[in-house]
Amino acid sequence: MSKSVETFLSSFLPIGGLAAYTVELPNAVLVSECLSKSLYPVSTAQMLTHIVQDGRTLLSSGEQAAQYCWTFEGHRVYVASRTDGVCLALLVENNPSVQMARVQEVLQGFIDLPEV
Amino acid sequence: MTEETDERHQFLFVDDDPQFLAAVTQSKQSSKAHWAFRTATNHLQALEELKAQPVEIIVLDIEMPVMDGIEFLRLLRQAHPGQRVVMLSPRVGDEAARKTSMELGAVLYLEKPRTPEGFQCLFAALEALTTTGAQSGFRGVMQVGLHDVLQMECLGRKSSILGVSAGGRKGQIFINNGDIIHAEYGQLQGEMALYGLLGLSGGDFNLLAYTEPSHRTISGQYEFLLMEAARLRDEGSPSSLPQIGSLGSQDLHAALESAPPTEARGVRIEETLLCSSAGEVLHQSKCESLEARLELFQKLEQQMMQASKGTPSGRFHRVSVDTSAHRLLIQIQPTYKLLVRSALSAPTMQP
Repeated sequence: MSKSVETFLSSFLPIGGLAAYTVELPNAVLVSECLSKSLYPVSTAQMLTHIVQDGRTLLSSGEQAAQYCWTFEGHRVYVASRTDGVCLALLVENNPSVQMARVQEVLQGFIDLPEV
Repeated sequence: MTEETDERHQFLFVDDDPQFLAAVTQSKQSSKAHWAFRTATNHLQALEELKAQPVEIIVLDIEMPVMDGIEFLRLLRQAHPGQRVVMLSPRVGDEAARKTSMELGAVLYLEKPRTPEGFQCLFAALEALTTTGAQSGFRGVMQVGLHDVLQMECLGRKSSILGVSAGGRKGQIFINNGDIIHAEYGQLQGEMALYGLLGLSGGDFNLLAYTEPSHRTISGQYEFLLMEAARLRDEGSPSSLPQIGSLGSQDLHAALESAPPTEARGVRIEETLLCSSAGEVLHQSKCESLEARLELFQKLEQQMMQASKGTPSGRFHRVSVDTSAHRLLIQIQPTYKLLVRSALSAPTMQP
């Protein structure tokens, strides 16, 4: 993982309700971390990768920067996609105790990062 | 006018109308063997009854001569603090009387029944009160939202029908053993109906005895459904949800594009598509390629099923995509699929 991303993410963690996260380049996974003991790390990482990739197909051609919220019955996946195509995906639990303000801060901070 | 007193649930009905009291006793006899009803036609008689033997719940008519229901409730509050009282009113929409009654400690304010179905509703409400118990919990004044009532029913693993009426429109939410299984609101059914009902800002509700709905349209955890409803209400999306229940599909676009809500958020609806679960187009507006959109629904559904495989994330519900210029919302629900694409208006330059 690049130093800037590592420093950036560690400055925000832990976040209540955050179960997993991944940072993805357009063609590779930079880092994937499962924080919840009730999830299988491999299937969770695969899920986030799928979602990031599927999300790209929803953008018009030429568009890169976007924010997504994927809602499932038990989880939500927030994705911040930067203009350089690097994405941060956060898997959060679907309950009221999630620190949503912190989640939003990370997503916005990631988009504002000058370089990944 | 006292029936035998024993271990049965004890109720005292206070009403100056002997015909109503007779109807109460008659209606009860057919189904509530474990209930004991006593009756009084005025407040003095009621106080005598209470002095002879306490009751679990007093059911009090708000309109009585000499001392009306609210005055008697005020008196009861002083003479019998902690006594649970259900108020009955022929004019359930009288907000001032409702407010005063609740402030004085009434546990429920209900419409006075005139039909067998009405009595059934009243008895269902009393049944619910007897199961909550008089000794536990706090007494106080609170404004209860539908969300709270629904949560209590689900937490208690109850089976009931939550009937809702507001502004001349009616809806029902079916709860079976703590699971929300069906909702109806105007022409809507399923989750959209549920969200529409939970988006209402006020109205009346009744807890009715459970009967199986004609079909089940909702599945999934109630916690999720309630959270979704709260989020939709907070976000106000899709646009004007509380009003959708009264609309036909022809009107949906008008609701989605209605100027005040969209302009207020700086959003202009560019495209809408509403389909049934089978892919039948129920409504569309400015949709350039229906075929491509229907394919998108199908593809997304499959992709998300594949993505969440092996995880406990459960069924996919929706995705929203925000870019600097657009917002795309896609919902995949068991009974419908919805796509709304909006353009964000450029900020107005200040002179």
